Amino acid sequence: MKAYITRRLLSIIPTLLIVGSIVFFVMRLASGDPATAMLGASATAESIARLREQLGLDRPLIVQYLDFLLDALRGDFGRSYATGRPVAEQIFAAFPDTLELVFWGMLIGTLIGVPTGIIAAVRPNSIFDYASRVVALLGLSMPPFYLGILLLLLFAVNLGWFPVISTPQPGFSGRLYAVFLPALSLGLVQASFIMRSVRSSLLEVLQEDYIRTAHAKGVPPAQVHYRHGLRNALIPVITVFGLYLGTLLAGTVLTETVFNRPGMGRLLVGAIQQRDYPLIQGGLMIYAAVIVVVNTAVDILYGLVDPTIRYD
Amino acid sequence: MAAEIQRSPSNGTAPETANGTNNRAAAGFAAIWHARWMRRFRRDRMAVGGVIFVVLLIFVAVLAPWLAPYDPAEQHILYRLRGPNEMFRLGTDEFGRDVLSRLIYGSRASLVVGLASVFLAGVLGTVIGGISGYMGGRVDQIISSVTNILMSFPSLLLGLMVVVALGPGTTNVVIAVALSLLPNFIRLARGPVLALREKEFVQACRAIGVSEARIILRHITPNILGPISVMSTLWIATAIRTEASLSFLGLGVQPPTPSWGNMIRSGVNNILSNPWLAVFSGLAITVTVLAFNVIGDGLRDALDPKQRP
Repeated sequence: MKAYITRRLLSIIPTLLIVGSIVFFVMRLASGDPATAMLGASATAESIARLREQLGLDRPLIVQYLDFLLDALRGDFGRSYATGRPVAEQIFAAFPDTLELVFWGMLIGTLIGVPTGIIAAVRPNSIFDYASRVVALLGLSMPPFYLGILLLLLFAVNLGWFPVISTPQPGFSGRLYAVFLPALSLGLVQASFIMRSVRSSLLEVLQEDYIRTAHAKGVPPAQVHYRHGLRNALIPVITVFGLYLGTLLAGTVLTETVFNRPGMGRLLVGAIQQRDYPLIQGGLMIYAAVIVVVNTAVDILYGLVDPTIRYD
Repeated sequence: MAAEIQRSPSNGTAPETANGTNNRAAAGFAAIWHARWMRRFRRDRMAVGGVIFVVLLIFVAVLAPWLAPYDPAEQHILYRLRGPNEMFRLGTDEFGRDVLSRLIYGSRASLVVGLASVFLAGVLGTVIGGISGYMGGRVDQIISSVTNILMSFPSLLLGLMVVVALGPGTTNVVIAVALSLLPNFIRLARGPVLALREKEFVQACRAIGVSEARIILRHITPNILGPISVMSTLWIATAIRTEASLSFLGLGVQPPTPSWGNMIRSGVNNILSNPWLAVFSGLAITVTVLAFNVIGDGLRDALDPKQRP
């Protein structure tokens, strides 16, 4: 078990290395020459050459690549072309706001998705099951930002209960007030995914022989469903949890744009629009790192909760 | 099928061949129509509704010039950002362009990106996944581990990365969405090929000296097309959503070409003056994605009835 955890943790390194390489080469493919992009069409060849030298772009690609990896390892992603500030500084300033959104979104998604999935699976083909499936299908057919737009229209524009631009206000309640609508829009979409996987997983488990045995020997139905059923049903749900968290994280890019909320997503979109390549690179690397770490954690958790898994 | 047609000229004169092909096509269609899974699929009212909607949508996209009340690029500058009214059924955008006409033309972008990217990813992914599963060994190891890494990334993030590299525009969005879906297809194709490679009928082929290429094309490929086509339907839904998201961020289909995604973007920018713009374009995306989702769900249930509650 210990060896398994160590191996999973160590596997983060080659994964991030591969991801880092993809990001680096994709960005180089993209930018062509960042110096020309920064100085604009009117720049002289001389000033472009000087900037290239300053940015280290005149060195061989392989040297730049190794430099990028070594710097990234130390958390240094260079300086933003647009602001001149270190990329890492800008990212870490924006990260807490995104993290806050992800946390509440996931919480709302889980609190709605898991119970709905359970009730739907325990009473298959009931009105509740049918209704929740239709709603969930609708939820996962919506583009992630559309629900946000509808909530914004209803609660901010028409009813005026919430601000149209959700800049976090100081204090816990101020932050909560600003994060509520964006988190709700992400959480409800998330709940659709979670509900569907909880339902199908529990439905499958409830057809197992040991469930019938438990019923036959007179265990109360509620206990059969939760002690015997749910605990086993949640194992496959945990595996997709990492995937959902990734989707949610990507969804923040859109949600932050809809709600004009500061965060990583807005930073990334802004960087893309300004062709601020170091910032794009750093932003993508942070997203990648978070996703890889979450997935590794999920894998380890999976090993812990499922006694039948083999650690080889 | 293609091989059959190529071979037929030697069998007889051209008209007869065309006839034979027609009959064969008709017979093939009848066989599918009466197949057990098809009968199950036809009983699924939601899925049939989805098919009807998608067929209608294809008609709308093809017949757009005849259906749209206005030119989608025409600016009625005196009627900017109006809500639904007598003249413009669904209102106008910030340039005074008719929203209904733009929605009708916008269906082209969504369908083209959805279908083209899934087709591209499907062909490429099946080939790569097939090679990975069939060859095994180191090749398989490398392809699988890269695929696994890419799988853990949300398709929006992958699409975003590719679009940043290639720049915005319809063609680039097709490529970006295709690449974001590619890992799914690779994984989907690899598994069954790995299993089929060891099956008796494949070994029998090898024993009687059938070439590897022929084994792959004639014996293995037909067996993996079923699950791939089902999942393709579901991924068309994902592809349309990803296109909408990229266009919403301003990185997808570029104005003035209308796409539902870039319409929703201008809708959000003008949400206080004309909220209908965002509502209608988002609704178009949602209903279309929903249609592909119910078709996909229906196909999956029909082909694999055991999964059903």
